[in-house]
Amino acid sequence: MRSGRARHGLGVLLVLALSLLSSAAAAGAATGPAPVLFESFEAGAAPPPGWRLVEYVPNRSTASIVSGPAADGSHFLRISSPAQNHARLVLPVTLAAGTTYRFSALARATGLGNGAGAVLGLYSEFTVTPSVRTDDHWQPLELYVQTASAITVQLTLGLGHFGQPNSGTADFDAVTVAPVTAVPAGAVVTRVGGSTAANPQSQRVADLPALPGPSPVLWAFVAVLVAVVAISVVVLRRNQPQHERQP
Amino acid sequence: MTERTAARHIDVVDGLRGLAILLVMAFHYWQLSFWALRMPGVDLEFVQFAGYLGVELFFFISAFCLFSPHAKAMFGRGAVPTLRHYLDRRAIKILPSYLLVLLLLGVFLPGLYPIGTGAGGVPMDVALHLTFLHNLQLSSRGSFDGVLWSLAVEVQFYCVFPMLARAFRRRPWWTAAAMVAVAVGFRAWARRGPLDGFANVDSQLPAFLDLFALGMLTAYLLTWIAERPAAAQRLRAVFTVGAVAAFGALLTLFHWTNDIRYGGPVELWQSVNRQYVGAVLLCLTLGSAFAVPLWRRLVANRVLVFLSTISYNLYLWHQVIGRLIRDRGWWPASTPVPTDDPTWRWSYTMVSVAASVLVATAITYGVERPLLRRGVRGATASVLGWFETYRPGSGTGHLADRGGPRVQAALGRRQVSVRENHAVGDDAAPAG
Repeated sequence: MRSGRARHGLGVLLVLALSLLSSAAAAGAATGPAPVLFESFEAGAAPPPGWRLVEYVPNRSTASIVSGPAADGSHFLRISSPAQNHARLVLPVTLAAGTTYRFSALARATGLGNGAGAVLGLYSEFTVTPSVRTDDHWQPLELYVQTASAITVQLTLGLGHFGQPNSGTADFDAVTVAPVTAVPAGAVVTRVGGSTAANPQSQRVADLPALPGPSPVLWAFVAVLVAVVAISVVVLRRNQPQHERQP
Repeated sequence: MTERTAARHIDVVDGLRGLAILLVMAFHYWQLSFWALRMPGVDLEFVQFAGYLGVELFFFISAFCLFSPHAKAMFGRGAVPTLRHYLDRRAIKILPSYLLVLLLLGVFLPGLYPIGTGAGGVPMDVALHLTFLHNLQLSSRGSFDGVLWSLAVEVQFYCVFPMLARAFRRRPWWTAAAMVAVAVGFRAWARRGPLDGFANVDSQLPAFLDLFALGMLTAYLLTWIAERPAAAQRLRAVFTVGAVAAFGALLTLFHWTNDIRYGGPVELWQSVNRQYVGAVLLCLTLGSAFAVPLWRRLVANRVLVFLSTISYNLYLWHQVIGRLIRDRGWWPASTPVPTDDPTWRWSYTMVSVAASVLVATAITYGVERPLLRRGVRGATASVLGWFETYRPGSGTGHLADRGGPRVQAALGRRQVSVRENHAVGDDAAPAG
């Protein structure tokens, strides 16, 4: 009887220990590397500091924080365009060199016309996630970004896209940027790097970082052109114009 | 310079104009379709992205064509066109197709490109477009049709061209240098301003004066070289090397601007490098004009020359047609957002290009060419004649024979021949 209780007690302890171990392992797997950014828009009625609204047609769209059935917490971001526009909320995010990041968000949309709906992308980049166009449930948007060098990109949550203005509302929540070790098959991937991406809302053009130079191949072509011009000028100047030779 | 030599040079410029419209279309359809031209081992997406530089090539060619008769006059070949003739030709070339775009898009498709979003609403927007000043403010720059901003720049250049041409005829190098200096200085000034709206400030007429100057200089130099046919013949191989090197330099510039899009606003790259793009275009045009026949045939191939012929209307309509086909779902995709469907991307591009070419061909040969060939009065008489001829009971003879008195009277007036229209400088490039 005593040995039976002891065995039962040992069994309970074993199950508890295994549970603790497995939950710890699961927690570790779920967390992975620390995210560079996590934003669920829980504080304040306006987009958090750093986020800026960029519009194709100025003053046509709005970005606000809405209280309601969010994907995470009780608030989410809403971009509204009563008329067709390409409206984006952008945030600078600094990324390390030689790293792959997963940019993700949960989104839903309603009242859209034809064309792109709620999308996630990088400012001035044409590569963008597939659109979310319905509001029956929160749907994931995922973009994988591979960096060649350290860079500041502009995370962009958009309603519409380049050449695809749209009207309606797009909701975003649980925006995450985190480094990952692999890109799943079929994922949307974009590559960046080489210099620091410009902030679209910089006050002055002069504040922008210097542009990278051209490929050295250009100078080879320039050298050939200089030689061609020099030879041509010498030869042509030695020749009298046709009409001056005529009597 | 023989007529045949002159025609050869026109062919090369026509080919480059065809290249310009191809570049612009490649850029816009890339934006609309998300179709990137990638094949195993070859990635041509950089050409699609750099296609926006096609507008710069249009400006360059336009100045070249406008100044060519002046350049010939400088060397005692022909007379300087009169101001009236110049204005007549520009108006007939630009206005009918432009007004057709405004009318059709304003009446039937006012929502395609938002109209009247700025101060003054629709009346102000219309007034700005009718006076070709719509590029001055951001709200009207892209209204009616997203590509019309460059037409404003082009027509504004037409207004100052007679004065510039006069100065250029007297002191070509100094005038070109002054124009380049103004453009470079203006863009440097624009770069000291705020980023918001920079792209619009940096694409006003003064910011393009260097491209126009280099186009005019190219016309002058081409005539100067053509006056030395024996030397030009001896230098054919050298010119060919120059043309190939210029083409290589242009592709390298395309790569460069494509790389910039990952690191900063492309407008800044344009602002800093426009004069160099112009210099490369000068080398490409001169080199190609005097290159070996094989290179000239490559540049002035039939496809490019045909695209050049319809380039103005193709420029005006290709984006509109592309947007209509995509946004109205006329070419359906298998995904809710068509650009998510890889098959749709390329098939849509092909369909849109074909539709644009058809529409542009119809307008060019149905409206633009008759007007250029016959003038406004002659074309009106033709239309009237058609109605008079084909009313019940009328005859079916030749147009000139079968028209009524009004037609006969109109046809009796001076008409401009097709050959005249094709003279270099008169058939100026379409606005980019």
